[in-house]
Amino acid sequence: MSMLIRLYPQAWRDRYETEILDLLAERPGSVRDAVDLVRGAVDAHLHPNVSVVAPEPGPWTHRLPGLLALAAGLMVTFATLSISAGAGPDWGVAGNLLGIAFLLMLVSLPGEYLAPYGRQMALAFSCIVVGVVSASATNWWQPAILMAIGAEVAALSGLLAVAAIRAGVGSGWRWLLVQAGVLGPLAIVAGITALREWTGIALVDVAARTTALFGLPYGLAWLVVGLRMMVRGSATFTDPPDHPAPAPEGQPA
Amino acid sequence: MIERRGFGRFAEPARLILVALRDGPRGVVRLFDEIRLLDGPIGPGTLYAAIARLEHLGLIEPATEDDGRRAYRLTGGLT
Repeated sequence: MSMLIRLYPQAWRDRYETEILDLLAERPGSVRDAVDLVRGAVDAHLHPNVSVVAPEPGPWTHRLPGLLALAAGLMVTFATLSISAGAGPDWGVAGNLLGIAFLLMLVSLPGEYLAPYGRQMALAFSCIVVGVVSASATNWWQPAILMAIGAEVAALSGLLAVAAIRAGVGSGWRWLLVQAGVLGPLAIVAGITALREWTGIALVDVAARTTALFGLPYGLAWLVVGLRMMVRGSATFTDPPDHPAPAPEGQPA
Repeated sequence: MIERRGFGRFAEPARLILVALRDGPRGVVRLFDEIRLLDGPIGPGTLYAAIARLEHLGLIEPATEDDGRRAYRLTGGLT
């Protein structure tokens, strides 16, 4: 019968689940009680009477990850705008800004999410390293640059997904769709540009300034995620994790 | 008062909870048993629907039993 408690709204469960489970342990119910619980769950959804107590504000350090993510979003947005709107692409300033933004994105993520999402973050970082090292170390540079672009898109996509999930903006397929919308066009345009540079084949006449514009949604996405992280607050890497990392599937917790 | 606050079918259990708590704080299990004695076989869903409404209105408040388990008592305004 305790399974029926899952029918209740989360706020109700947060408040009453423990004690009603104690009650059900002491007074195991009948079928009629099970029906009564279902009716109670319907009522709890229709008439939520649970007073929502505002959580106590966390320490100011919990605003830091959001602040870093926000700064990263601002830098990406500014860099893409400066490239696309300037008289000539100022790759020096924009490149530095993008590099710093990437570092800020990385630093904003560790903390309570380092344990459960550490594997994905390590994979993203590895993608960047493999791409950059391949591009710089091999003479077979064209495929290497292509690999670097792919690795960077995958890494940036992973970083945004982890940040978004951490900020509670959404999760799972919803974020894959958003990323396809944000990063997909950037990857396609970058691929077309690379093809034109290497082979002279111009599928579409895309200038570097136009290409940079495709980075704008990415910067704006980080702005939104960073703002959300700041408002919600999130633990930094100096705070102990509230929950242990989930055990891998098939292994006992 | 309860009838005017939209308690609906939970008005009677809510009234009985207030009556039971008049003699002092009650643990949830004891409260459940007493209401069942007074009102017949009400279920845990009905009990907690009434408790949630009373607590939301500030008529009762949670307390703790000696063994650490949850109890309820009347708020200052009703004692």
